Amino acid sequence: MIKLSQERTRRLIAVHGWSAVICGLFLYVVVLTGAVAVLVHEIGAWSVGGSKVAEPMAAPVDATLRELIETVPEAQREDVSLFGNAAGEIVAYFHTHQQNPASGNMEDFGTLMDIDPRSGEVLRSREDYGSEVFNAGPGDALDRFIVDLHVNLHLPEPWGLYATGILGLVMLVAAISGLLIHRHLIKDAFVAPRPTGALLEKKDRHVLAGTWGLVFGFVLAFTGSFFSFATALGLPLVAITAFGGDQVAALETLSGTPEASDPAPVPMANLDAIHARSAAEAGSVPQFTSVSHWGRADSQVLVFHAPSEGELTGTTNLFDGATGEFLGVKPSLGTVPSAGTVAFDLMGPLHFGHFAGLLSKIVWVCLGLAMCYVTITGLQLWLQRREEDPLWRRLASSVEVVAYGTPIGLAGAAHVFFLSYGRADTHYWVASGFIGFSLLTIALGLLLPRAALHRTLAGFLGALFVLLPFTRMLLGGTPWAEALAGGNGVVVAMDCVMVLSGVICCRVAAGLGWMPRFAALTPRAAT
Amino acid sequence: MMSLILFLVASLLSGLGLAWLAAVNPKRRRVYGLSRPAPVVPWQKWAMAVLVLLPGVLLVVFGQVAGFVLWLGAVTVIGWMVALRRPALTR
Amino acid sequence: MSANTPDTPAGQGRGPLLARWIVAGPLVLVASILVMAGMTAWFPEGAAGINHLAFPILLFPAIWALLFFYALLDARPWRAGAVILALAVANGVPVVSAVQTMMQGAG
Repeated sequence: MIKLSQERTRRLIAVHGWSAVICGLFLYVVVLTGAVAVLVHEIGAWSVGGSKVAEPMAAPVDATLRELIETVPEAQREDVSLFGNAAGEIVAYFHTHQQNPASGNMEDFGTLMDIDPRSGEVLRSREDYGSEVFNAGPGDALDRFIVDLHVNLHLPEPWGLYATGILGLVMLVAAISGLLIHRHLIKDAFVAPRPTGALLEKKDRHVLAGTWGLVFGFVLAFTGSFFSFATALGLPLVAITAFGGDQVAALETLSGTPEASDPAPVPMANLDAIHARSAAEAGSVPQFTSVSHWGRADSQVLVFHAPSEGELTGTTNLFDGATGEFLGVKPSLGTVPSAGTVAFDLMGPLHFGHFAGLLSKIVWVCLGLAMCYVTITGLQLWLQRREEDPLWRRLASSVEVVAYGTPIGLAGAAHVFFLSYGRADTHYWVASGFIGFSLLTIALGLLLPRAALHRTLAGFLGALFVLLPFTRMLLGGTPWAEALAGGNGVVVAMDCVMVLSGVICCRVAAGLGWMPRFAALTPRAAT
Repeated sequence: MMSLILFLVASLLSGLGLAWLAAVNPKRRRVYGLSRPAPVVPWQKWAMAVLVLLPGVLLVVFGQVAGFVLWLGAVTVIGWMVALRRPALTR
Repeated sequence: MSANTPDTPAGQGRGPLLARWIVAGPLVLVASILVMAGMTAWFPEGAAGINHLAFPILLFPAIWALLFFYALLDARPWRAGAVILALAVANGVPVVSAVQTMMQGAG
């Protein structure tokens, strides 16, 4: 395809290979957890046995909020954020802005309440900074753990974001250098792995998956590295050059927040009426609502909606908080539409794949898993070429251990979540479960002979997957009949996904193909 | 619902086109020692290209931006799956 | 992609290899950070007055990748280094002056 001199190709191959050897296993962990995190909402709902109501944000909330805001300290009545969580509860965060002594950054600070949308009863309440308070409930442990592992590898801020941002750049380099190295991209696009030799087959597998995954590998790496660096590096730097270091001012200009102008106390407009009007405008139930300057003349209400059918990006409607008047659609950046807004709006859907409901999420999970496959086959290819060297041979089992250990850790953490849910601190136990099962996998990697490792780990992972629905239901999780009756098909679907994944792993462990060969049924043509 | 149907039809058509491309791909056949297919005549080449690409173009033309991005993702996964499966005729 | 420029023999040996490591590693990283920060000074603001803030942040991975592959593929690492350094200095000027103003304001 692209002709490069031998010298340049040699350099590209060195960069492609060495960057993968150094960062590949971390990249795999980030990409795999990313593929799983696409289904974070579904996993959250599954882990707590489904949603209490189908659309918590469609329930009337105005009267409840007016009552609750009187119960929080006066300083925290400045702004209110509102959204529905995976358990179908309304989450309300009454907050102000102040400096977090732990990070030194200006942050939201206030009281967060999980509210039952049917009764208006406050189920849980906690007071903390914005960076700590969300997804801290007992039911959020599993999904939060997975997301944090993907976003920052559980490293402290901002180092975690730097790490994943750099891994994104490494993936970008792998995609571009892979494209430049591979001379017969189109010609080889349909060459199935040749069964002639282990090395050639590995190479074919890697190249084939890399070829087809190239476009989205690039897209996911670019958007991912943007998300990591945007808040950890980009915003602070841009704030320095354009706003004399004032990050809050930079953020307000970017988000198009108007300056406070009228602090006169005025009763708030009815939020239910605003929600109803916004839903009529956007054609969908609100996803997230943000009230600024509650009870003041300059109050504004922003109502965020998911993309409507056939659209890639959602809409945000702006309302006057004092009068309830609909002020129009608000661009996500600035106050009027611009190229920057369009580009920025594309980042989310392209990275998270959540723009067309479950369908787009399934496609994105497949894309993510394809990236994992490219990473692992690439590493295996590199190691197989150096099989003679004892040092590299040792690394070969570590690839196996990480490749299976990460999903084993996650599935183990899910088991431990169900054990601890309603009984102990789920956040602590999910993390412990992940570490425990990871250590177990490492121990197996050290003890077992290399030949037996692959199948043993595949079998172990398969067993963990298949047993998950049973653990869930035996420990008091919602049974299928009840879940279906309550409109929580997602619980049943996730159980089925777990069993199916488990069966696939068990087939691999048994030395069979990952799926039965239907093609073998067709009559053989004469050769 | 309409978007879903359009996406599924588009992906199915492109998938068929990819399967056709794979079936007559000379290198794939050579690697597996399959019989040489009849040389691809120009109209077939066009038909394959149209079958694979046109659904995506049509999605954009009819303003299905989300459908197009989704189709793009699906096509890369389908193409990979199609190419990954070994021809059934191999010994 | 410049396809047929032959690599000079200067691309061999330890010296150029070290130079390429320095240029493609730390220099490209620092340069891309400075270009992102300095872009706010010259990038058009657009109708909403946010393009000069949004695009540098959005394009950071692309800036880095572009500079990295340039540093990697240029036949002479020092020449690539000089170009990237010039880019870093040109974009670093508004950054330095902004930091100076900040310091004065703080002091």
